[in-house]
Amino acid sequence: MPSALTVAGLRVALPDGRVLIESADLAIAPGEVVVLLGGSGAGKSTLSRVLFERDELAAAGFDIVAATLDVDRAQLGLVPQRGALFDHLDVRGNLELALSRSGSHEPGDTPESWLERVGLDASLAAKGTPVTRLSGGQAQRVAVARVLASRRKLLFLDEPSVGLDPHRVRVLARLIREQVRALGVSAIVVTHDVALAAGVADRLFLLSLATRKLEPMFAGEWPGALEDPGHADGERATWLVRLEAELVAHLAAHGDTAPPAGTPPKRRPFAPLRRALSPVVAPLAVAATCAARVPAQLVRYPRDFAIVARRVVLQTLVRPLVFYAIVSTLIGYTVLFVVSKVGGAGVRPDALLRQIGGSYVVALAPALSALLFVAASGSATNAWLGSMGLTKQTLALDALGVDRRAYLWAPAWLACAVCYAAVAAIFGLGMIAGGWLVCRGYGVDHAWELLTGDLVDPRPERARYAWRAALLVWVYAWGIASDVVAKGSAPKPEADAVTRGMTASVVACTLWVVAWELATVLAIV
Amino acid sequence: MKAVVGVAMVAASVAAAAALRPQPVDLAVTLDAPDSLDGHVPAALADRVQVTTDDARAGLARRRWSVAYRGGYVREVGASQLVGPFQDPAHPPCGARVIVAQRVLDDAAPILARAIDAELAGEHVVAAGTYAGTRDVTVRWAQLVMHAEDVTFAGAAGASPGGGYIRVTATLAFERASVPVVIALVPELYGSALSFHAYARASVEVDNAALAWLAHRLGGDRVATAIARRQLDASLATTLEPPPPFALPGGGELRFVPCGAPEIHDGTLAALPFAVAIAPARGAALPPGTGVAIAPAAGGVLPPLAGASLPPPRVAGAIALDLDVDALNALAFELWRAGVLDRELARAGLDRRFADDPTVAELLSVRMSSPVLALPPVVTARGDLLRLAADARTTLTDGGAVTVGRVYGALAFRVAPAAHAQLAALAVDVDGVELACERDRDPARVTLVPCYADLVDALRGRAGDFHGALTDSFASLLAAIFVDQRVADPRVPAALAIRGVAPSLDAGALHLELDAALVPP
Repeated sequence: MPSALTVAGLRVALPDGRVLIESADLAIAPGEVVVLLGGSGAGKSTLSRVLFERDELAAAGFDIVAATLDVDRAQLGLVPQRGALFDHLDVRGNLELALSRSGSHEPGDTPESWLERVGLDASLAAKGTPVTRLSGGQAQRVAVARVLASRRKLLFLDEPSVGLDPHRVRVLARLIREQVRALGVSAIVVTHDVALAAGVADRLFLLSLATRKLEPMFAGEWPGALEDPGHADGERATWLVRLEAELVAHLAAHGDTAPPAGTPPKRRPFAPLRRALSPVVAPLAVAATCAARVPAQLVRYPRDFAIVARRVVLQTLVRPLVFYAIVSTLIGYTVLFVVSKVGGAGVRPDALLRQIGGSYVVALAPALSALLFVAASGSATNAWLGSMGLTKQTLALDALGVDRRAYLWAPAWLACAVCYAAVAAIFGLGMIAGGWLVCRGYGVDHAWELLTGDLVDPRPERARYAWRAALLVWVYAWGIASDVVAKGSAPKPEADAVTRGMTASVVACTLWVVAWELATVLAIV
Repeated sequence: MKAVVGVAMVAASVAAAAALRPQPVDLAVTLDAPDSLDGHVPAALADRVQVTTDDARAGLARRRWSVAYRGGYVREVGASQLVGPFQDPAHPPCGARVIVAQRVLDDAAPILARAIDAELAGEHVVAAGTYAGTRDVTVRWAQLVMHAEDVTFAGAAGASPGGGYIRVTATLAFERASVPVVIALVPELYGSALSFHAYARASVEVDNAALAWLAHRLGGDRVATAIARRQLDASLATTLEPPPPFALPGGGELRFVPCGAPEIHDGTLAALPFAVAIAPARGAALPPGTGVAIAPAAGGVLPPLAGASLPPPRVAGAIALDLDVDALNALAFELWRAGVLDRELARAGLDRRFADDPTVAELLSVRMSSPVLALPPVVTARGDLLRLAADARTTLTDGGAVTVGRVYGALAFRVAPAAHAQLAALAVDVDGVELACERDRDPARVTLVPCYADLVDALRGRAGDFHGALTDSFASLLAAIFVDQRVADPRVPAALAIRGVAPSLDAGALHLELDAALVPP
């Protein structure tokens, strides 16, 4: 039978040239469970990223070389640390998403059946059960159920026992073994947990801190997964002790050993320029990506599209709606009030108001609404996308075979753009409402018609300003959406990266707005 | 690569925006001829343009092409044209009259008595003796039907049974006799001159029959009649005649000619109709490139003829002037023809005032030249108001752009509300301000486009603010013309002193009440 995974001569170097993994070899047979052990910093998680996020690693400056890296990416599933359940979906939604991409059409393939398969109550599949209500163990098992439901043939479980008590660790180990046997899949389990490792492993490997190589442990003597039937408690206890001792000895000897220096990476001549341009280039690339994926995603997965878009609409439009209404009304009132006073003594305020008409809305609404939208709504979506990356939910999407660009970016991008257009309209209405109050104060007749004239039926000499406003709303809509998605979806190695992304997006979008304001003003003049 | 596609999206947005950029069609009316009311608008606006034409059967016809936009904004251009029928310079319409009240004649009586005293002092008549004085002098507007006793001699003087005359009665006292005198002064119009034919009936009342016979033989009636004629004919003819020719600044004069027999109401008033003499005009001196005024007749521009008629005469004080719209138009036309109005406009310095206005100086870049009237201002009667409309040209300078502007303005004269009647009997308001700019002008046609519409709209919106100033200005103008004027004639022993003037409207005619009295010269 062909191997589920064959890796030979894998070498991973950090961006500074230090070698994290040196000449690793690994082959996994179908139906086999391999456990990778190692200390912190040994490169276990990096190994998973080599499999799932190789491009992102390379983009971050990692040097990845492999003589052989033979894996069917479409058959590779992942259970990230802590499960990484999608928190914009309920429990059922998590499983349905996996099922929708599994290609299975068996009648029994339901969220309830998969929950029961991992030992969970099927009632958790009831609609509206949020994933945040699950305990750590439940979340981990739902994550396993999710990846199993996706019918992947090679599972990569990254620290699946984190946060579980010893009993639940063993339950999890047995679950993994049962499903591997039942579904005929292979698994790679990365863990520190000796009990889990011993419970599930057909073979054990140590990612050595000394040699930076993948070294077999107990080769030829390992009895196989100890949670499989037929292993006595005494045998299990013995191997647990041996395994722990081996591991501890290794860590004691090499735990603080830094990765060896390697060949400094080649200097990429345009790397600084690329980094400098990245804040500009990335949104443009996102725009192209999303524009291309929106139609297909809408046609193929309208429900998924609606779910993500709904979340973005809540973030960018519904929740801050009152804020926009109040601010725009206040600005509209203030602007017209100030205008009504600029003439000073002897100048009739109503005459000034007639001169201004609705031009203040046409001129100010696009820019002001854009800046406020970026700061409030855009940051919300930016943070949401960033947190999805930070909690490995996006990685989990990839591992389910869900194209994050189609599933997440495209609807978020479109919803964000549409919501900005809606916010611009609401903002304009608010400014008109504020102006209307001023007009009422001065007894200006037909104030509504007066203030909306420049928008609805502009005089010829003012038509270009209405056109400019429409153009700006269009450009701001997809420009802001692209930047929010790009910066929100950028890799988030730590929590602060989320806030950095938000700030960077506000700055970038502000520059975008300023540039278009100036350019269009110059074009009109 | 994707970034390139993103850049392409930006470029596509810009390109699409440029391609979709609205091409708003502004109102532009190309007139078939520079002075025509016919023109065409861009096809894209054809459904939106409203065309209205003032209902001017004779006068300054105005056609407007307008497009209304939401918010109450209107873009409009208009063209003006004088339409006939026009007044005939050879037979100017009888549209004005001077009305003299009985009061003036009453005032004239003592003056007349003093004049007779001075004239007859020391006079000796055989049988009657030396002249002692005149008493019981009355001067009265009379109608023959009301005085049957005068039929014989007044009728002989030419007074028609329905006509009128001035009836003077006096008693000349001599040492031995009193001579009651009745004089009939019958007005007659010879060409453009008014004169009076006087006939007198006098009898010498003496103490005895012998003296009566003697007085009759000596011709006492003739003496009285001669005295009366010598004093009264000139006096009354001067009073009851049109205003004298008025020299216009810069040359020319306004002339008024009697155009009909006086209308006399017994014991009340007499009204003498007169006309404003007119002559055709070639056109106004317009700014370079703006063409000439419209010449509706081969002979040149003429004032329109509305065929108005004056209401029955009335006078509340001493003297009144009535001017119907034809007379007013003739008056305005003559003032325009002589360039007086343009000079007055220049003297008023509208352009300087506009430029010096602090708001304009600080906020506006446009400046205007003094307007020049392209056509004579025209007055029309509309219900209870008179409307004065004028079409002018001005040169508008805005930065480096120079445009010929067509300015149309109108004033409305209304009877002042009771609350304001104490200030002025006639209220004056701005009834229209319009501006259009000329574009692509050639001898055959010109295109009119809206310009500075918001500015004009703001000005129009402030029209109410000018009410007080315009009303005061009109009152001041009338006061400057009439008040404290003395109309005197060396042949007459009295002068007419005008102390005030009160304008009002009467059935579409301007009625000026002059508070006047006869005073010693």
